[in-house]
Amino acid sequence: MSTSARQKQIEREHWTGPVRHYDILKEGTIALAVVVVLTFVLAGIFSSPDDPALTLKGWAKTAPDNLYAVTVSELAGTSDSASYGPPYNNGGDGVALGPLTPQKWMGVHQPVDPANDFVVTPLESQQQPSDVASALSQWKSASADQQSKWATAYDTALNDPNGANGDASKVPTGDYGPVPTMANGLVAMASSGALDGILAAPGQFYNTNTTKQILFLGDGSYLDDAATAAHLQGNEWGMMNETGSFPGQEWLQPFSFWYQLPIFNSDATTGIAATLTANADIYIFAIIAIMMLVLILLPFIPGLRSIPRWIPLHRLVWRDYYARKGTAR
Amino acid sequence: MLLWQDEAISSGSYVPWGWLSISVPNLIVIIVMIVLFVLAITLPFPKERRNPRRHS
Repeated sequence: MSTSARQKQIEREHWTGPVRHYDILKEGTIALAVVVVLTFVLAGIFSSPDDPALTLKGWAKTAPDNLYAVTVSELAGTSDSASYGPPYNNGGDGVALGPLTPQKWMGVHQPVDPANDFVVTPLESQQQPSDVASALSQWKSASADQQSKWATAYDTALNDPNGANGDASKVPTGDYGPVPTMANGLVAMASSGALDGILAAPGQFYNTNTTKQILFLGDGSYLDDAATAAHLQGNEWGMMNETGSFPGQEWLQPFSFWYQLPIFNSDATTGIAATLTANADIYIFAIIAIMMLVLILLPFIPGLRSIPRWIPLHRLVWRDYYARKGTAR
Repeated sequence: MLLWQDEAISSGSYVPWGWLSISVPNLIVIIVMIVLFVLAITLPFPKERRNPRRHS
C-alpha cells in the first residue's frame, strides 16, 4: 500500500486510543491570568523600557560640533542620507543581492532632499537673525552649481584631517558663501528646541512620520553613540536587546546571529567581505527566507523529514502510551 | 523634553562570552524557556480522573 493510500486509510479509521476531557476555555483563562501576573511581576523586577526620546535639541547640546559638520554635509550632499538612494533619493543604488537591486526597482517613493528638508526649509520656517536671513537669501538666489561649490569647499575644508579636522574655528579662509552662517543658524535653532517640531512635520498639527528626524539624526554621531551606550548596535546583538534592563527580542536571534559573523561585520573596503557587509541586510534577509522555506517544506525534504524517527522525542512525551503499547505486545 | 544624557540611561547588565554578548534579563528568559521546555517533556501527564461525561 502506498504512503498516500495508508494516510487516507488512517484518516478514515475510528480512534480507538485513549481520550480525555479537555476544556480549552479553562486553559485559555488560566494562561491569560498567568501571563498578566508574569507581566506585572517581570516589569516590577526589570523595570520598563521607557527611556526618553532622543531629540535634535539633545544633539545640539551634547555634540554641537557634530551637528554643525552634519549640517554642512547635508548642504554638500555628502551625508549618509544624501547618498542613501531609493526610496529617498537617487544618491545611490541601495543594497544589492548580486545583480538584484530591489531598492532601485521600487524607485524614489518617499522623497527626501537633505539640503532643503533638513536645513533650508527649517531655516525658512522661522524668523531668523539678520545674518542668517541674509545667508539664506544668498543661498536661495544662487545657482545649484554655485551652492554645490560653496558647500563642497567648506565640507572638504572642515573635515580635512590635516587641517581643521572638524573644528570650525580652524577652517582656513575660503569662498564658502553663506554655508557657515546657515550651519550656525541651524545649530542655534536646534539648541532652542525649535528644530524638533519643525523637522518632524512642517505645517502639520499631528504627525506620526519621523522619517526625516531619524535620517538626520542617523547622519551624525549622537544616535550612534546612544545606540552603543544602550547595547543596541547591530554588531553587538542589539537586535535582541531592549533599552534599560528589560528583556529584549530573543526571537530575533536567527536574524541577529548573522550580523555577528565577520563576513557581515567587516571593516574591509574591498573584496567579498566588503560587499557582504555593505549589503548585509538583503543577504541576511535571503538566508532567513531560505531557512523559512526549508521549514515550510520540511515534510517534503528527504532526510530532514526523518529526524523525528532518528530522535524520537515524541516517545518521551507519550511514554505512557508507548509503554502500554510495548506491554500489549 | 528630557535628554538621554541627563537621564544617565541604564544599559542593563550584559554577559560577554567571546563573540556572544547577551543581556542578563534575556539570559534569564531563555533559561526559563529551556527549563519550561524540559519540564513540559519530562513531567508526567496528570492522572485522569473518572468523568461520567466522557465519551469513551
